[in-house]
Amino acid sequence: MSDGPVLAADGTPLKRSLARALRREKMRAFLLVAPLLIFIMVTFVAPIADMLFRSVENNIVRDTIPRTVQALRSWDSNSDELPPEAAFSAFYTDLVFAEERKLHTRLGSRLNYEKTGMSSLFRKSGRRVGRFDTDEYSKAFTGLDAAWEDPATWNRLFATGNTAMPETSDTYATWRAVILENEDDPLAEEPWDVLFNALYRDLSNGNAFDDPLLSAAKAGLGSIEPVSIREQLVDVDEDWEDPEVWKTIQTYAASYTPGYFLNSADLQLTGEGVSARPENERIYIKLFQRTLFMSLVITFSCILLGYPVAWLLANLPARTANVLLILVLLPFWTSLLVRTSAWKVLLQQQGVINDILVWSGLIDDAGRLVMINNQTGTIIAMTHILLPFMILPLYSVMKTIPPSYLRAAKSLGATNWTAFWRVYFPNSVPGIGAGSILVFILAIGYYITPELVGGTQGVFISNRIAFHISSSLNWGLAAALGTILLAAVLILYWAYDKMVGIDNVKLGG
Amino acid sequence: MGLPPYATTGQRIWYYAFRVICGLIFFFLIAPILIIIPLSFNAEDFFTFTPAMLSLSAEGYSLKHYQDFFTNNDWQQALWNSVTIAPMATLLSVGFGTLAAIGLSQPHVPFRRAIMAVLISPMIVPLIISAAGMFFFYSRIGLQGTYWGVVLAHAALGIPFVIITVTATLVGFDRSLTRAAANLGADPVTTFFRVQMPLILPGVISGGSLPSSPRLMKLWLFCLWDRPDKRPCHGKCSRACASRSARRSLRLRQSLLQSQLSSLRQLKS
Repeated sequence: MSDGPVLAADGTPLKRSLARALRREKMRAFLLVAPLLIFIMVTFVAPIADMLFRSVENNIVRDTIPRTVQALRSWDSNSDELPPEAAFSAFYTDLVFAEERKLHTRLGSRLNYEKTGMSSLFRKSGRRVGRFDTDEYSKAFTGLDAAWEDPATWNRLFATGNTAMPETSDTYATWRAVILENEDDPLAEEPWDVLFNALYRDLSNGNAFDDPLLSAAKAGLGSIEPVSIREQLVDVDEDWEDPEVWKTIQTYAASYTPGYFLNSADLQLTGEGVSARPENERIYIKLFQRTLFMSLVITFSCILLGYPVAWLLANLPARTANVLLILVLLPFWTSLLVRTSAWKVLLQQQGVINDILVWSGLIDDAGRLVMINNQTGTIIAMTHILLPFMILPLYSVMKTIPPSYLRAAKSLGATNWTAFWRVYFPNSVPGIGAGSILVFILAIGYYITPELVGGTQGVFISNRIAFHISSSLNWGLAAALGTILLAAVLILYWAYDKMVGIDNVKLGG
Repeated sequence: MGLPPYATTGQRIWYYAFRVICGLIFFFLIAPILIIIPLSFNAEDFFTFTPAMLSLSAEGYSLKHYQDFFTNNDWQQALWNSVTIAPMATLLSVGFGTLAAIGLSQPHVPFRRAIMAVLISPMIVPLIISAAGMFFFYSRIGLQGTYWGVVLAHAALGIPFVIITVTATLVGFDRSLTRAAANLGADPVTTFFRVQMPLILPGVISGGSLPSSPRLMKLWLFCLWDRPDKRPCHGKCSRACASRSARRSLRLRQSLLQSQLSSLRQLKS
């Protein structure tokens, strides 16, 4: 035997050979898992990440009215003065194109989440923006030179960008894009008033122009009566004279906003900073509290009902226990909707329980109990639905507690209660913990049952999320509420993993 | 745990009271499910027991809801959707899931815990969040409302059930069988299809059939699947259920292995 390292059959050192084998094994295991991991990432994790992203994303303002955002950047919102005419003009240009693309109502709804009245303001302005007095400019310029009526003139002057006429070039580019979107020909379409407005502004701001047509127009500018966009807008709605409206646009101009999260916490972002929402608009804190409280009540009633049953199952002979276990498992095999509607049948005012109570004379016909469409209904139905999730972990833990412990305690002089409370109960705590976390996780995310039996008082935060997704279409807020809920669930999931272990569940071990 | 003959009156009362309490809880669990069955024969459209039903007269009952189910196009369309979507979703989740479960059951898997947490997450994340996320994302990539969109969503939500059941089955799987097969010259693919697959098939089938029934249905496995008494049971079950030919070939190989071992031993001595 040599003194060198131990060699494998092929002559490499054994250590290296083993390490390579281990690496290969790891690689192989990982390659087997990889397809599923990628699948889950694409079909499940990515959608959720995408939704979480929505809770801060706020590109709509910047995308819909980019010129206004740009013009408002230099405006001091605390000055109590209205933005300059340039901002109004920029907004006019933006609004014309947004209206043509039918985007202004969406922006209005978005801003309406932050300041009520914005939605109707945008809709109203969008309807009227085509009839602004800027057609005076069009008439005046075509009066100066008929070439302005010809789309080819505009194309020649502004299609490649004109540094002396930045606003007009920019407006023309967007106009051209809009015309092309409508599948029209920009060389055949008559120039819009909004282009003449930009032309007027550029001409009055600039001096030296390379084209004789522009120089001629500049010379004739004195004869054209200026049109105040601000007056036009205020004419549509006086709210445009309210600095608060402009402050809201300025505040929410950023691409990312904490606004939805603040909204989820009943706060709002104003020009001055974060402040509480008005008293009558605060619902989410209350809803979160209610969700947590009701989930706790449900978890607690599951422990209360599940503990005796699990104890009975764990202490009966295996054959009887298996039969009874079917009774616990049967609810699992039944559709959630069936169970929830069954509770509707039982709990409603003309339902089975009330009928029995009236029939037995415990209550009179006028005094039928209201057990559904409120918190009671949600708690009863959800306790029923989640009870097996409590019983099963409890049962599996209790099965591992030797019955001799209780007998030993009693033979040492403990009463029944002491033997249970000091010996048996502490042993069953891991089961309670596992079951409680599981029930609690499932309860706070529940949606279908509260929706069906909860009425208005018994709904959870999930129902509000569903409302914002399907009815109010405030997806950002839905995403923010969902993110908060998801964070709560993931923390509990993590705790469950730490306590019980996802991959190696050893209950009570 | 019978009642001992020396039990005091108090103990007797508690013993029976406890049974009654448990009976009531079982009743609470079962009654709502049973109550729905007679209602399906309701002659009225109300979702409650009518006086006619309570007095057990024949006109209170009818099969009209069943007739509606089998003749109404809406119901048939829904039924057809389930029939076409479920198999594809199951195929996807079972295919990927089984492969991953086999990978996860190897002794050395990097980031096993984290991977497991990600794979189980579709079951833990609240339904409304998964639904909303998928809706937004799938509509962004043009899959929303299409056959494949639904299939992918179903498959993703079904993955945890496959992972849990198949991993549980593999815990009871005897690794020396694959080693024996390899020893006898089978390559990994042959080993998988001829030895491992027939043995874990029951777990795969049960894992695949779970998601097509209501999603929450078998979450209990999640908390139960490593019950101390579960492993041998699973192993036994799988072995009992394995097809006869697989069993026969296994036995053949096992005896071959034994003869090999004994000849080795003879050589040694």
